[in-house]
Amino acid sequence: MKEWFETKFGSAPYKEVRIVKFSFELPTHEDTAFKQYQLLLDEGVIQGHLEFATKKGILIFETKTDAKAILEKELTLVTIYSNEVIAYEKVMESNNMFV
Amino acid sequence: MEKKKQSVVTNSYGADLPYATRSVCPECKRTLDAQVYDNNGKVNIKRTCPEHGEFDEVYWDSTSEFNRAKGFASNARGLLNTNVGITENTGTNCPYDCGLCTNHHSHTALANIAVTNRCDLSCWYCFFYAKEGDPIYEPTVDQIRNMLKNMKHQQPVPCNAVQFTGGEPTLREDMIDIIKVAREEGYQHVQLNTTGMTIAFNEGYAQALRNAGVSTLYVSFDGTTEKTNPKNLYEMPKTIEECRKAGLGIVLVPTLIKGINDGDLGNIIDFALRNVDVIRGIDFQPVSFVGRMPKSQREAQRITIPSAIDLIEKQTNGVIKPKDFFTIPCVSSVTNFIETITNSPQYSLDNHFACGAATYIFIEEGKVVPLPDFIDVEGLFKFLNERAEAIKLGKSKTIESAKLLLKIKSFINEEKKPKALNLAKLLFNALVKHDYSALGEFHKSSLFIGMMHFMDPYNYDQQRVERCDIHYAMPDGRVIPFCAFNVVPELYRDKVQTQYSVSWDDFKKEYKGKDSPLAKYKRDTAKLAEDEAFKSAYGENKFFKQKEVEDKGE
Repeated sequence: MKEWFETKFGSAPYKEVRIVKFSFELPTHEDTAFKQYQLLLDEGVIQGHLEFATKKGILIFETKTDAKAILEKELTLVTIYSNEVIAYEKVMESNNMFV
Repeated sequence: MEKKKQSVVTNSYGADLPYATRSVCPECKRTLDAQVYDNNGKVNIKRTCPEHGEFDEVYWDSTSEFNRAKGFASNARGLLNTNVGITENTGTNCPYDCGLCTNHHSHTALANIAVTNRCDLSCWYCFFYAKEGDPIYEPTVDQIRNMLKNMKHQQPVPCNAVQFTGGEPTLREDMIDIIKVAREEGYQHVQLNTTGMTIAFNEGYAQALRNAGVSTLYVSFDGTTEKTNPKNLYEMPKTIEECRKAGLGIVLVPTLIKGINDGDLGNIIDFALRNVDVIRGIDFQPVSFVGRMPKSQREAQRITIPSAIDLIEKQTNGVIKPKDFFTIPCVSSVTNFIETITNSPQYSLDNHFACGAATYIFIEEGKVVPLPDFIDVEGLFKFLNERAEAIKLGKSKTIESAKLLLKIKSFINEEKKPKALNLAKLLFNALVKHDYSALGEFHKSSLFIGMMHFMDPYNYDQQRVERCDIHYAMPDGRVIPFCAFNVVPELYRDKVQTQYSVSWDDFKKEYKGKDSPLAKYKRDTAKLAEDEAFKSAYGENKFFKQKEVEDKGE
């Protein structure tokens, strides 16, 4: 288990996360979906989506992960246009239907 | 509901073979264009991965049965409030965008909540149980309440049925509290997925579950012999006895594997009928494969819904026939009619027609009678659809309801139907007056026989996942269709449960149970074999001629 996961019952696994918005280039829709799958396999990536139609992506990283390095390794022509740390609570709130 | 986006496979739903869909490469999980097509009387799904080549897998064993099921394909309503989260997933990268995304078509009919990854068994085909030193996934009662609240807020149809699953849920000391929480949150159907061991060996536990609010136990039961059911053959009679005392119903859940237990379907049905006061149904689940498996092995073990139904026909001496089974979305005509009468969205089962099939059987004067023997099911559904369409076109609800009242008896064969059943009254009350009180009695006097074929990476069809209505609630708020959860466990089940697990050491510190947290069940076969419940459980079949399991009915 990675050290950044909380190990207390009932607590969220992260206090803060890094949300990165970027543009990218990939040749096809299939390549984009596959790249999203591969990125999500990384333990440091919590959630994310790459949109082939707009060539834009959002990834939520665990804060100790080097987001820039991962993006530059996995994608070409990456331009990060937003990079901020937010409370993980906000991710959970946006996931939930009832909040 | 107007969909925000249309997936590339949405428009081919219900189309004639061959049709286009999308799938994944079982090796690398790249999403791929795929085709569902007729392969000499069987239905296959094929696609080609640029790296790993072609995968061509049987999808349904009968094209004719596939086409019959396709006739009941229904349009699902979708969700008004999807929960795609901050990442704004659009569904274009299905199944990596869950969820539920704006491209999902079905509301949650049954919410699954995994409450533990501990299990007191170590079945060879299951990878989902913790071993010594592994992190333990056990969401707290508050976390579970949040998941329940989340599903309850789906619009326009809130979730109303939940299944607690595992691991083995009954290993949790607070399982009773969890069930009470589900009831507090307004869930009318609370199901517990269990091996039944805790119930068999803890007198009063079944009663406690019932009192807390469990509606049904969903109990794995793979066969009636040591060969077909090494898991709980000896214990099931004790589980049934405890449930009988508590008045708690059971649905048996056999996983069907060709060459293992495909000769035992008739015996399982006979066993259920002999215990029909407790066993409410059987949900046969043709095997879905975990991990990579060579084609020859898949072909040796794969069984699909039409073949399973054919085996049932053979092993029940022709009493239960393929024509008695209907695909699950066939009931959408009933939902459609009630929605039209009430002007309010209703619980619907609009999953893909290839996902499952079901029927009901009754015992009348010692003989088994399938429901379609005395109800013209297709005629009734067609008539309901016509009335609903007439009302939508401006006809009077009162007049259309009166037409139903006048016509309803014509769909029922009074001579063949069970005498105790007043079906015309039951149907009219349910359809027009929305009085469902008699439906409970209907269920108690019948045995439900269902099939649900969950997918694996080899037969994966995105079209099915888009319409899935059995979902997993996750502690991070996302809701994942069953087959996405299990076909891509590395992104959903395993990833999130690892995030939300506690370390083994921390778990042990907090653990308050009397046995070791990972204690395994040890069977005392000799003692169990002497138990009266066991001795009387697996004797001669009562309804269908005994079939040797080793014959496999092939």
